[in-house]
Amino acid sequence: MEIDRQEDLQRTRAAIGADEEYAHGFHDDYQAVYSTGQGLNEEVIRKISAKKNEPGWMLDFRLQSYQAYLKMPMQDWGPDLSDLNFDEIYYYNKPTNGKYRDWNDVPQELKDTFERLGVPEAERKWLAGSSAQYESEVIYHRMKEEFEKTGIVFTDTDTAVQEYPELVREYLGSLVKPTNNKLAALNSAVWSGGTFIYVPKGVHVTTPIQSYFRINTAQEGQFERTLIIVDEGAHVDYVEGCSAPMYSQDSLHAAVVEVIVKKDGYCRYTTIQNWSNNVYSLETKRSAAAENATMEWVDGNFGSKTTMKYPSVYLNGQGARGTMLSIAVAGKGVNLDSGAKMIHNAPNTSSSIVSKSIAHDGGSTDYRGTVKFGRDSAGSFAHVECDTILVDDQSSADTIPYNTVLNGNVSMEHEAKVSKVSEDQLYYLMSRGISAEKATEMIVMGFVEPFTKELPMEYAVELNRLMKFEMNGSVG
Amino acid sequence: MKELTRQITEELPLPDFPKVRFQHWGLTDLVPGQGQAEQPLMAQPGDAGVELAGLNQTYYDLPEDLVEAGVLLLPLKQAKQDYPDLVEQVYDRVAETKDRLTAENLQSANTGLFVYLPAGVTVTENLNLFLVHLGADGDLVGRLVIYADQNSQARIVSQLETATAGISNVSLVIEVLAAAGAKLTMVNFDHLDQETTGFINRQAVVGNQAEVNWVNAAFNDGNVISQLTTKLVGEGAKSETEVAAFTSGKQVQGFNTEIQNIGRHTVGHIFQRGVILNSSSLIFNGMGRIIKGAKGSDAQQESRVLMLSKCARGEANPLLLIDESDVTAGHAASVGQVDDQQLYYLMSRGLTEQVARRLVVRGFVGEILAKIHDQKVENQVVAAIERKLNNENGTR
Repeated sequence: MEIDRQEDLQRTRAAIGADEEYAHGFHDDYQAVYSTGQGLNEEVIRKISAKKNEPGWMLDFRLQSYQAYLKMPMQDWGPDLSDLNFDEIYYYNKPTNGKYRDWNDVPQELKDTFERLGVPEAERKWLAGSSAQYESEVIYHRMKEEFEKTGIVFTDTDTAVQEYPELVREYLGSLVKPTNNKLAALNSAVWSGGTFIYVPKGVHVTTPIQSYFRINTAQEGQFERTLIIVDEGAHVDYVEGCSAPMYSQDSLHAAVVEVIVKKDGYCRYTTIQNWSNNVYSLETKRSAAAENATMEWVDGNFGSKTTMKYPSVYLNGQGARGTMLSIAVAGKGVNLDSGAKMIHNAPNTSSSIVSKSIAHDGGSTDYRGTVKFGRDSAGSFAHVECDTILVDDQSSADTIPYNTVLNGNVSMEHEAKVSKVSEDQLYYLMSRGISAEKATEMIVMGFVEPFTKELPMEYAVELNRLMKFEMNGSVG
Repeated sequence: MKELTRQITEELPLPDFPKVRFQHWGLTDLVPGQGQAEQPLMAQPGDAGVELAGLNQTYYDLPEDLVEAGVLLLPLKQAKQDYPDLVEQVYDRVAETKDRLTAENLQSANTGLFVYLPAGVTVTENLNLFLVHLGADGDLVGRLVIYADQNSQARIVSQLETATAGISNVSLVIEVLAAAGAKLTMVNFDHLDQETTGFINRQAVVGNQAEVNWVNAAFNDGNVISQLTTKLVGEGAKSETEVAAFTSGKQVQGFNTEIQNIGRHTVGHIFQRGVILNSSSLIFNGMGRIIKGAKGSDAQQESRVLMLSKCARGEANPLLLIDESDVTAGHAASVGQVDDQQLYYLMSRGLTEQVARRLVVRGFVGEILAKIHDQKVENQVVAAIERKLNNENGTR
């Protein structure tokens, strides 16, 4: 049994290009300029706040959150988190300046993976933890100038606390209260890094803003705190993450994301995550859409040991719209427990959830979601669609949707399907001389197409490569 | 059978009814009624079946040919003495005692019935079970044990009704075993009154190529949680499970409707329709569970809820838990209001809005009611719909 698990672990690591040696080697190399050490107490939080030179109100927020964290129980539903040891976690590490792992020391498997995925040269080093610099810095600065003309703020959340304290103070924690769940409380107490975006009234950002350009802060991203405010009539499309495997030495990532979309505003938030298989990714993402505003989540999940993520849209204004389009691909040893929440709090609101999951090689994907129509949601509509493909016998999938209705004048449609790769389709393709492996790949690609076509082009290309890579060897 | 002590009972968890708050309903405090009816309260001359009204008091009338064929229909207490081998196959086995309320029932039940269909026997006429709750006398704590032996066939129509009023509980556990090739249809009409709080736990185990189909009409007026679990254990076992429910007033009715696909090539379909009135709550938790190894199985479910009031609460939670890839599974759920187009169409044909609404509501549950195949029960269900809708108009 024990041997099996060791083998599993090695295979998993090999799959993401991080073998045993690499994992250890990384730890040895890693030298933080400043670290609060293992474990958490009030002193650690004071140190974090002091190091960041934060105003008193932020320290108070952190300390209150810490009290909430101490009082709250871990949730007793969903995936098993009993392996998580909160005392062993480093709650704050300020990364070294320039002291990164030598590219020559990066294992060949990882380099091969990057090669196969076609990850741009410049990103490879960052992904392998051997660079904190990203060569697009220049582009970032050019973009920043562009933004400054229109009044758009795009920075990291730490900087925002210093430079835009009014906005941060008003909105940070307004949607995700520290008492929302234990991990949100933890994030509120020890957060570091994350993205801050403010789009002023009526301003439209025409090209997607990508978090690629803030790679320096991404290194601190264990407890990211992202805050996006889209003012009235403004328009923004934000993209973060990448589909290449991301190795992290941290076993716990507990991010909090808050998105406020005001009247007539529009926000699309696209995330693609592919953590290494030692990571618990437990995120709290919430957004609020005011009158006639639109909030769209586009969410792709690969890898990690366990992911728990249920982005929500609170449809608070008349005519608000919320959508969630997600894909989850779970391979060996991976449990992706994700979904969405649509809370209809105002008349004539509409929401749509489309979730696509693929479980292969013993992976498990769960859809867990909520649609709620409040008392004042007359004339509202919700649509939920969950499709799952189980590629083989070892994999499993659960669909756990809750639909609560407190208003008689609404309508909701919910549909879900779980199936294996269709044999009819397989035989058809194979009768055309296509191999079983290639045919399965084609079917899976067709299955996820509604998702990929919503991505910016370079992401779509990368994701397609990743899907092929994931599915490789899982058939026959 | 292992001994169930009071201590073990109290340590067991309450059953899991997602989104239903029943913890304060007092379902663990059972005081079984000691009364008994002097004469049949529901059964009428000519009904093939049995009435259970109060303590060990049964009236029954079973046609000669069925008696000769070896069909048994008798009080559970007597069956335990006379046919222990048969009872043992089902009792406390089909319904596993894993939660507090089922354990309380096992400990406190003082009344019950045993039905046995011998191998190869086909009962053509409906078998009627009248379960009378004498609310004025205390709680009804009963257990029904139904054993359909190999290749037997029957339709069992059971009616659960409050006869005398009084604040009280009903705890009813129904265990059904369908051996290989048996085909059983269970029609249940639940009609407990407003003062009665209920826990109804129906469980079935279905063998090779056997079938257990359920048609449940839930028209209780008080707070009730209702568990319905069908385990498709044998290869090719099947279940069509249909639930029609009306809630009204301020009541809460919660339904866990579950089918487990355990054997290969098993087929489980759940179809639920609910109508919600006044400020009541109706919660449908549908669960399709495909266990590893149940290759070639099919699990489908559909839940539809019609909200007829602004203050009502409705839930349609269709869960699918799949551990096997070689299967087909799907679910659909919807929540909506009375279809305006249907309404306008009917009104354009000269019907008043009230009549048109009634027709639309009846049509909504009609598909399920058509499967009752018992004229008397059907009439009673229609009367119950009328009663619930009339109350709605009265309080609007």
